[in-house]
Amino acid sequence: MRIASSTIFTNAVSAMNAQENLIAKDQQQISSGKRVNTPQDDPYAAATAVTLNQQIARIDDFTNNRSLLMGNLRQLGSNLSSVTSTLQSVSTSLVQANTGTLSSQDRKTIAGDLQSSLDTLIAYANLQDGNGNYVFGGYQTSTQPYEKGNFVSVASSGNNQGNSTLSPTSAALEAPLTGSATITINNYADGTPPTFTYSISGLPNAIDNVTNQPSSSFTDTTVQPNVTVPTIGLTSNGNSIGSLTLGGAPSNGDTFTISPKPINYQGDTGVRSVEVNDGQIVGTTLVGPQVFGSIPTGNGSFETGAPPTNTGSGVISSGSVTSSLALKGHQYALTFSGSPGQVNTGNQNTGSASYASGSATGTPTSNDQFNIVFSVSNGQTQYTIANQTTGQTLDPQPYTSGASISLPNGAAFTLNGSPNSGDSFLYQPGPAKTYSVVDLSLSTADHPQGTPVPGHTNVSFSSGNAIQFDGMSFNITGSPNTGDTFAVNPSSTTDVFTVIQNAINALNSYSGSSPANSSKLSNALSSAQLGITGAINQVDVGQAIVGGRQNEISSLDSSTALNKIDLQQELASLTSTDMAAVISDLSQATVALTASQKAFVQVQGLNLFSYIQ
Amino acid sequence: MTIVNPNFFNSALTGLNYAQTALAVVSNNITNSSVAGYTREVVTIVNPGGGGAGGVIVGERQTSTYLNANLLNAQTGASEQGAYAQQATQLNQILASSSATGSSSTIATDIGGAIQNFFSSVNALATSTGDSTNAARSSVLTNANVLAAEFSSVGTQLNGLGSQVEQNIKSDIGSINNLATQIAKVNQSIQTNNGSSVIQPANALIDQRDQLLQQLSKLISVSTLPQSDGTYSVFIGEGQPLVLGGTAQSLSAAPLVSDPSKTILSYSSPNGPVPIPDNQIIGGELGALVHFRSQTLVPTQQTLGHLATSFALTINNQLQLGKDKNGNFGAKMFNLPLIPSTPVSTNTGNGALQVTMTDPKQTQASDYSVKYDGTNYTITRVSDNTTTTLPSDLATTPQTVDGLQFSLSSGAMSAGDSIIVYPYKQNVGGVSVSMTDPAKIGAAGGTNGVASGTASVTTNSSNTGTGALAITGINGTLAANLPYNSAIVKFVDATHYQVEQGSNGYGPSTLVSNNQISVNGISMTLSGVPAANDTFDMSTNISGAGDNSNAVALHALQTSNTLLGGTTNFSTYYSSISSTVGLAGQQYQATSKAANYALTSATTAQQTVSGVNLDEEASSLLNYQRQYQAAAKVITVSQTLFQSLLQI
Repeated sequence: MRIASSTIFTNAVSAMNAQENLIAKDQQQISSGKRVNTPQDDPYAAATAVTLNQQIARIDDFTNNRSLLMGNLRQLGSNLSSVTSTLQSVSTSLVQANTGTLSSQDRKTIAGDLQSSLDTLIAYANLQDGNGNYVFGGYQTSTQPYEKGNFVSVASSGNNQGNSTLSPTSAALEAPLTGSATITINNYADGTPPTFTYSISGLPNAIDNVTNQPSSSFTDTTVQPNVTVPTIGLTSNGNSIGSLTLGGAPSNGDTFTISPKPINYQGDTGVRSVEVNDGQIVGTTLVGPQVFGSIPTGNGSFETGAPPTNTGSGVISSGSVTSSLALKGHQYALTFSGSPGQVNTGNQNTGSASYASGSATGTPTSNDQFNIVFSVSNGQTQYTIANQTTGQTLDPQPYTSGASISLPNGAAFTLNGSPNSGDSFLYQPGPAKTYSVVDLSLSTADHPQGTPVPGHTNVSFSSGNAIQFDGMSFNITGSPNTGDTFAVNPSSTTDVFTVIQNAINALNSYSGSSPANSSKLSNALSSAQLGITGAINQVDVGQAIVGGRQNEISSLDSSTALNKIDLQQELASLTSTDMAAVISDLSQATVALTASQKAFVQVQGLNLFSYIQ
Repeated sequence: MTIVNPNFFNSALTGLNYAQTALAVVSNNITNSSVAGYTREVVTIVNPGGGGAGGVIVGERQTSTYLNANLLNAQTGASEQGAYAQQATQLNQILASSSATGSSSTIATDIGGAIQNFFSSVNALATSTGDSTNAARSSVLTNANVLAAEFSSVGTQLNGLGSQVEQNIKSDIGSINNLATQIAKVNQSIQTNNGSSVIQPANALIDQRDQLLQQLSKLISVSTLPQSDGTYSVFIGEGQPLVLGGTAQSLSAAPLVSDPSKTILSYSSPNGPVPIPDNQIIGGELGALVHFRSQTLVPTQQTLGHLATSFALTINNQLQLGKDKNGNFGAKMFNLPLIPSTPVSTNTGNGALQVTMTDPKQTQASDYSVKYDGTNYTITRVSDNTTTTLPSDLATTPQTVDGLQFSLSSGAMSAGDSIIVYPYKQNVGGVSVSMTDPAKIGAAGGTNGVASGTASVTTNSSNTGTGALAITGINGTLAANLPYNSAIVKFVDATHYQVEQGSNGYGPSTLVSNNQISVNGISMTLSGVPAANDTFDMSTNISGAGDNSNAVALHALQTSNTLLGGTTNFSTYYSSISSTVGLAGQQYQATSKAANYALTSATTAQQTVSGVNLDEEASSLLNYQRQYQAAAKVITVSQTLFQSLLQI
């Protein structure tokens, strides 16, 4: 076959070109260290590298997130441990306070201890992280979640007709109040301007004096702005703790309530969270109510309690559930009724009326004492019943020998004979003997509110005996008086600050040594003890959550580190230059190029013309 | 036998002439051995007939029609593949060149890297509680700017490549016209030559025409049809006539109707350009350019523009659901480019469209055409010709197709009008960062997620009833344009309420069971008994300083499948774009190599017939030299013989 001379040249040149291209490419790979310099070098590797780079970068992000989160959780965990130890010391103090042999001064000391524990807990609840963000406030990281300070709140009744205002004039109202006081505007007097007086009832226990009490006239300040507004001063333990100012346009009957300001949570329920791995989100904080609130009251199913108005020494236990299926979740009231009391003939009696021996009859509903005084006018004998406990006197009633005399508390007795004017008989209440339980949650026509719980009407009472109904069991010890009531309600939730505050209030309030006082204190302290146990449980739950989160993220650390190494190796194998292979290719191409060049020179010399002489 | 003396002499003289002519052909071959397109000639003696010595000696072209056509094809193929590979390499380098500043990335993935860095900074924002110094917020904004700049740089480079392609198409068309004219002229000369009675064929002219055809075949696929008068008819592409005898068709570059920034090959005619469809243009550099434009460059612009704009809108939408540092709803971070639309030049109506992206998840990387037939409007997705006939009049009701809202912004369309909409291909670099104040990044949860912290309701202090409202939950996602901020719930009586917002009032509504109230998706429970005219003020989360829930949600978008109907996320979309471009480059690198081999072998084969072999010519030279010397010797001998005769 003929070969055109030019073909020899062009073929040699294109062969050398090809070798030089290879050499250039190898050189680029070696100098850049990359096998894939543009997507067309290896489209699959280029596309995969985009994804791999993203995965590696995300692993780095998540690793940083986890290390930040770990720091947060360590701080949170150690804070919760401190909370637990504070709660344990509160628990110890409560046990100590409930021994019954303490003097009232001792109790005040314990109350002081509890107050400082309360302050400590509030400080823990207001924990801030390294950047000054509040940890327990949910998303409200720049708002103090638990405000400590002004403990007095004043609220106008929702039914006020006027526009009167009552506002604290001093920010120093920090005294821990118990109970509440009601200020009522009354004695409206027409005039220009009209004038008012006010009265205060239900003095807060810790406020021992109110200046300007009981009443002082004042003027509608919206009509006459320049008059001196009445100021109600409040003192505690002889020290002024602030004052309240009345103003505005009052209306007859307007009322205000002064009550302790609860330590309300100021945050929200948002849980800040951090992504610790693809799609795995872990909370960085716990919200305040999760740790410091959500404490079940009572035994967790139901709570028992006694109002401060009880006069007897009955102490109700927290009780237990006997059958959770039988629980109805209703509210109940347990009321003590007395056995009928004794009737004593007055020492000064001159008439022939006499009382048949023994007790009165009936089921008294109160523990009141009554004096029955006789008078004779126009030949008709009448008697008047005076309630010596309340000071109330009833209208005179005609007397008939042998007829039953009914007392307002439900007791009755019979006198025989003719009393003279001025003769008297004294009814003294007997000790409590029976109790009745009514269901306050019923509301049907057949079973209206207050329907008695079956088998629990006028049951005779014995201290310490179990009282059982609707799946619940509890007992009452001591000696309740007639008219004393106890409440049995479904468990609700409270917070640790309220629990401790209530205990402090009880220690401050029931300092006397009367049986009634000590039973109230005992009731309050038992309830507080239950609350603290619940609070410790709640903190433990928080600790468990924090620990669980720590475990979750530590296990991720090792697995993602391995994953990252795998991904990096994959990326390197896809996109990095394999030096050994490329250098070997390069020398091969160099050898081939040298050979081509030598061959070209050789072939070039092959020309017949060289031989023609 | 009698020897005729003069015959003996004449014969030698003729031999001398032959040898001289042959030597001239050989030396012509040698001289032109390195001239491109030269076809070697071989001496042929045409016997004049009649038994006498002598005749005409011509140099006959050594050529094979088959091999020549084969070479033209190979030339077209190699030139097409080479040109395509060259354009694709440039495109690859654009996507690679932006990697110069890339992160730890070992290859060209800068848009990918910028997307990653953006989301890393969002993650940092999500973990930085409160961000009182705005450091984390500023970092998000900076990374957004870097990403926009990255898209913008790639967009500019792609546009540059695009105008370079247009430029090359125009210059190729010019070259084709020029070559066509030259070929026509050569045809004329050959016709003239053959028409004269000269027997000598116009070898040089034929060589010249072959050479011109070679050059033409580099630009576009060429086929020829020899005519009886020696001229060639030349056809290009799929058989479009270019040269017929002595006349050449004139081609021009006309603007595309659907996209005037692009040109299309057209015949010039007195009635205006007659376009030749892209699919008729095959082979050569022009074929490569036209197909690179339609198959690789524009789709890349289309998909990258789609990625950029849908990324921007997806981020904007999420941010606007959140609350910013000042408690307001989050601001947009990106400005979206306007979506251009062009009425087709043949329209008789003056309707103009306004198109905006509304739902990035449903969008597709395609152009659209909106047609009106006098009754119905139809919207066609150009990429796959999916047609949607609109249920109602576009002139009165905006319509949403593929996540784009179409509305007639001015004028009216006449029957037969159509408007082309190209939402993405010109918008690769169109996204810019509109946010300047980093405090306006909506990192806090605004309208969904945790109930408290995002909304609050407060009891008016002058209420006389005992009612209180408590938020119990927020349902679903609230539209940002329906803010519940500053709404007021006002009780008409104990069981009826109305919602007032500014001068608007809604209701009154009756309390549903369990004292539930729902306002704009926020559910609340009433406790107590409200009195008539008691009001409750609602406001949104304005103090959730530590709320990071929207930042967490924003970060989750990195790996959420938010694109193409929920099938892909930003980085996988980018990697598929990059891989498509890479594959095109890789494919044409390989085919270009193969086409070059084919060209080499076709050239070798053609040269085997038509090329000059110097050794052969050297041997011919010696041969004819000997013949000449021998003939000269014959004359010498005959002269000697004659002298001898005279001396006798």
